[in-house]
Amino acid sequence: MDVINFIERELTAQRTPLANGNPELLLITGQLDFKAMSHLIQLIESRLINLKLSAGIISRTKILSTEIIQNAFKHGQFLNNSFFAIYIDAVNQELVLKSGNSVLKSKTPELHQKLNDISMCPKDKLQELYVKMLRESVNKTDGNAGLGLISMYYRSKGLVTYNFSEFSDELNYFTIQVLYKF
Amino acid sequence: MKDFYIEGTDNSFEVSLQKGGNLSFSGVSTPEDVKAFMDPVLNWIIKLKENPPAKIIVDMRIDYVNTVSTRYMYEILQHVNECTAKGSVVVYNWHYEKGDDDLLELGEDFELSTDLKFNFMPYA
Repeated sequence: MDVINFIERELTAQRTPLANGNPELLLITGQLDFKAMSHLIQLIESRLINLKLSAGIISRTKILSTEIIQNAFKHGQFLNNSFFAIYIDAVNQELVLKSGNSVLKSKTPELHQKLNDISMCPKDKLQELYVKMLRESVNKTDGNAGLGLISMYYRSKGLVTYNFSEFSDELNYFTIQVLYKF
Repeated sequence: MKDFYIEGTDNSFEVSLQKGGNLSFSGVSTPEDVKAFMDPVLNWIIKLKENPPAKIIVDMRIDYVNTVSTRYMYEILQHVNECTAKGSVVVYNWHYEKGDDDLLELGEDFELSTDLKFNFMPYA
């Protein structure tokens, strides 16, 4: 199966009931490089402005989008060809951000473990966890200890779901969904 | 020591550091190489600590930052705060668009994580 078709099928198959029947705010698939990241954030902002959403919602979406896209970019750096998709929908006072990207199978357990650990944190302790990890990460050179992932959970108040599915002998396909109620 | 200025881009802050004590950061920070962008800023602040001005005003008008930039901002603010050991008074101003509670929250997170007292200043 063509990888782009695979990604689009995965994301659209996971559309939330609230979003059914409504045009998405944004659905983009392709390869992700640094230029594309910056462009995507600007594109997301312009689409949100067109919807006349409040400045707060636009800021929140940009912050969450940045975390999602940068996480995908980080994992794409380990691959020769990194495939990425992002889907954003704003319906009925809910913002849905979903992304899908390929992840090396060898990197999957670490990512899975981080997500699992963060998901166990009570919602009212997410800010505390974020601040703690930020302080601890300052003098480290080996990554952010999942700070971006914690930020996604914290800023969406824990409304994050994720999934890994097998794509090939070397790759898994990773999807993450962040829901933000406004 | 000279003043320091970097023009903002679509993915990096506008940074203005004046040896007289006015320091400002504005825009977005998601540069491709955060270290390459932030290290000169950090080094300038570390140099400032040697002979800091009596009053330092830090103005932050930030749209969004990635997590690596957040780490650097945390570190930069800690270094600025160390100027108080040499008698400097430091004022931290967090500017945000009126009604943008999310950027206000981002500032509050910075305030909480750094243990510094921010002035939150909405603009229309």
